Amino acid sequence: MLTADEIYTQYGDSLWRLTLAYESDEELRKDLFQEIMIAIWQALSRFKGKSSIKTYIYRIAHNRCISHSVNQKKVRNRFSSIGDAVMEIEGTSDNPEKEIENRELKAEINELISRMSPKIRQVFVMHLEQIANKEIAEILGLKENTVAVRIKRGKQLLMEKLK
Amino acid sequence: MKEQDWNSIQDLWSADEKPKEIEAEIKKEFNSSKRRALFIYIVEALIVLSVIAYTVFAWLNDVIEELIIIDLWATLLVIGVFTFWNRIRFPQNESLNNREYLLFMIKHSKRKKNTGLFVIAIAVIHTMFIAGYFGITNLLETPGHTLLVVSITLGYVIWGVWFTLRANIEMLKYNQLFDQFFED
Repeated sequence: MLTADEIYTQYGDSLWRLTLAYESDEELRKDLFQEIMIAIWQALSRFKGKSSIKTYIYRIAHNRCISHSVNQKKVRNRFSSIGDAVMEIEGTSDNPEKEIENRELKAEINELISRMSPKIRQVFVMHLEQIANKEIAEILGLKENTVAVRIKRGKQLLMEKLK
Repeated sequence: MKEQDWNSIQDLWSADEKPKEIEAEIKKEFNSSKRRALFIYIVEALIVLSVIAYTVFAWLNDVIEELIIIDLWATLLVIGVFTFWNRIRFPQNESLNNREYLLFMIKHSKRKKNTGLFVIAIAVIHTMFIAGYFGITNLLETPGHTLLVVSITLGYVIWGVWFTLRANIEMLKYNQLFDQFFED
């Protein structure tokens, strides 16, 4: 069984990126991330081993994101402006041009993801996190085929615009 | 799509890391949430215990003229039981998948709405009971009692209406989210 610290180290970055699919405001995003980590820590003792710990963690995170969306006044807006979120791209300080290019590309990717419908975006962000289709299906309660179709659609939307 | 393009998108995506300063905040919040939960448990237990103690005391000493005060304590008992009942009936369900979770929350908010309506009904029954038991004329002769009865009734009504409205808004939002994620 993983400890809370190990979960934070191992899954923290991925869960942080996941919040981008639900919250664009940087401060609210931090609050949401905090809520997720606390919910996971609190739920660790109730883990029965019916699924993998990874699936369990992502389920909690997604459910917390959903509850967060419900508690926000304007649900629709939260889902439609993630492209505005501030992105930190690390490294490459020896190559500022490349860094700027990466920032712009990342901003464009975020903008395009933000334009996807929530159901495609939810699946697509998990795919970007390199979670297997079977696990995504298990986390979200979808059929594996549906997951594959939504990922394909997401990739098409992204690549068409980036070309 | 070229595999190389996709890999570079994934690399860019993965470059976004959690803010460093947030870890200490999370640990602090986690510890204080544990303390808060413990404090709430203790307060709730004290309320329930004192209600039981007071009721037993009143019953043994035949303090029947203080029925209205007992009524006030009974209200606290209702709140206590209601809180515990909610905990037992609506356990934590983080482990459900998204679809099940949304369906669970829709059902949950419907139950909450019904509970709110039930509380409003209690307000009406409560007033009728007190008025019938003591007689409206007797009650009006003692302004203190009248004020108490009106306060309790209003408390029930405000609580019930607030609970019902909030549950209704939640239900609509969960329904909306379910449609967004799962309706084809």
